[in-house]
Amino acid sequence: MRFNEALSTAADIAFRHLGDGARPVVLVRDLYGKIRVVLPEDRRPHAHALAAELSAALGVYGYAPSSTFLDAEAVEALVASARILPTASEGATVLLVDRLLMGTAWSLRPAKPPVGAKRFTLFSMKGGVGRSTTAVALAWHLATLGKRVLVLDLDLESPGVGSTLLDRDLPRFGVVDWFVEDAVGQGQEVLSEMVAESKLGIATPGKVLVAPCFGSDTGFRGANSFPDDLGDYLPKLGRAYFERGQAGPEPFAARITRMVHHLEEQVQPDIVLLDSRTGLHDASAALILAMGADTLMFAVDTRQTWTAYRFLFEHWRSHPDVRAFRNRLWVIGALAPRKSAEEYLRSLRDNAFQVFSETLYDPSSESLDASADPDLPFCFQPSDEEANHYPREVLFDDGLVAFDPLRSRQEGSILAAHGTLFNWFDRTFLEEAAP
Amino acid sequence: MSTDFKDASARHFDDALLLEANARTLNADQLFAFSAECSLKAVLIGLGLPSTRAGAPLGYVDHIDNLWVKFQMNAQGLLASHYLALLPPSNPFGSWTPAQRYFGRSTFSAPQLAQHKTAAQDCLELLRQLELDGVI
Repeated sequence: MRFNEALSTAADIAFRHLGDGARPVVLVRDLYGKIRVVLPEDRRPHAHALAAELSAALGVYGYAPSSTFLDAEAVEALVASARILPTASEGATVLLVDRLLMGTAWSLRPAKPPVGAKRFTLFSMKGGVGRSTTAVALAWHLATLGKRVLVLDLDLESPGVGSTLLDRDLPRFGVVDWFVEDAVGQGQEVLSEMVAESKLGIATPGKVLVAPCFGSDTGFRGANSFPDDLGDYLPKLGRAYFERGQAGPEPFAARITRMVHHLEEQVQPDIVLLDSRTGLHDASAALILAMGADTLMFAVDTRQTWTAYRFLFEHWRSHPDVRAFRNRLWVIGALAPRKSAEEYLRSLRDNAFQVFSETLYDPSSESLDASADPDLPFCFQPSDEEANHYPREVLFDDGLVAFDPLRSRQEGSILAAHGTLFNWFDRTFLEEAAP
Repeated sequence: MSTDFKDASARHFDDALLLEANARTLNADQLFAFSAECSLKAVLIGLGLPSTRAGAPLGYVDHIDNLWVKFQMNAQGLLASHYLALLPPSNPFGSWTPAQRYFGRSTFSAPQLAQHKTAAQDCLELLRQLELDGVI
């Protein structure tokens, strides 16, 4: 009996004994992948037979009959965010409470867009696709429109935009400092020294404000430091994901939401750009789901990219609230080559459409269930430029390799690469441009 | 073996509630402390610590005052930190001593009782999470 088979086997057996169409069967899968069943009070007569069958069938992925059941009270708080398992049986609803060590954030209840500053998450599955470069470019562009932009560098393991936008003019503290100090109730003390202004926005009517991963005082410096030493960052990085805030246990997503909220109160930005960590990590999930943000999903036209996005979107098919956030995911066609841009983008568009249409889009003939958004079904033609899958292109530009905007004026390169993206962004998200 | 920290933790807690409801406050306080101690020892065994022949987690034959600190100091890594996050950074049993079993009733402190009760509840929650996770 292997991991996957255990789940389908348990679902079938449990449903056979407990399923009645009126209420879901609830399974709990622990950190090892071992499965237990929630036994409703009125099903006690079935307990013995069910436990025996499960135990025998599941092998190492089951429990002894005497420990096979959990009572409803034990999982009450967890059922709301349980995943809905697709089942073979008609009218069967099987819910799965899946205990994970990492990755719980991909099942978060999505947050509504906040009142006030608009938030945007920049996310990519793979590194080196120009996500951070675009974050910088977009921040500059918005500042030229007179916007007050707050950029947060949340790629803690691979700090990027903070340094690009600030160079050595770092604030005293960074994001990691907040996480560490907040765990012992002192987050407020570093909040006022976590943001610095980028020179990139100086010549514009707006402002670019930056909360970097680390500040000048973040790293621990021993006795024999060199002048350029930033100190030891890892002790703080190694504590940043601790799921406890000043008031008690708190999931990472809630902590980061609280931090961003405090920064917004302090800085009063018009727009917040959240530069996310790459790939399938809770930190990325928190930014995509818990911020009420629109997410720019960077994609290059490679098999690895589509495989990874496919994994994520497939997972989201069983997310109980997928309808609430799927229309805020936007594909960005990254690193489009100048010479064969049209061909590249067409392929990217087709691949993106395939992934979306097979996971997140409604089949066009499907009738909506009562709980769905009363607007039109969420589906598009492949060539629909307003569709979520339709890649907004960022062209590859030589001038943006080893991008260092504070050292050399690269407005030409930035515009050449991002012209289309900027137009789309302004049209779609900025009120003044709305029809 | 007779040692069953999980069960002991639950019975100490339940009895503590009964005592508290009947204004038997100093003894309620004692039992909340025992409950917390048993919970933490169950957690330590669950996290993989080897046990002595009597069933106690090796190296952790302490009362709750020292046990709490030791647990916090040594919990690290992805799994243990997951559960450590459920406990406050300060020691709620900092002023507790085993000698309190010999004290007179006049030494009772309502704030202490409340603090110890909350800590015992946090520890039970810890156990619940470990159980859902299949670690114990």
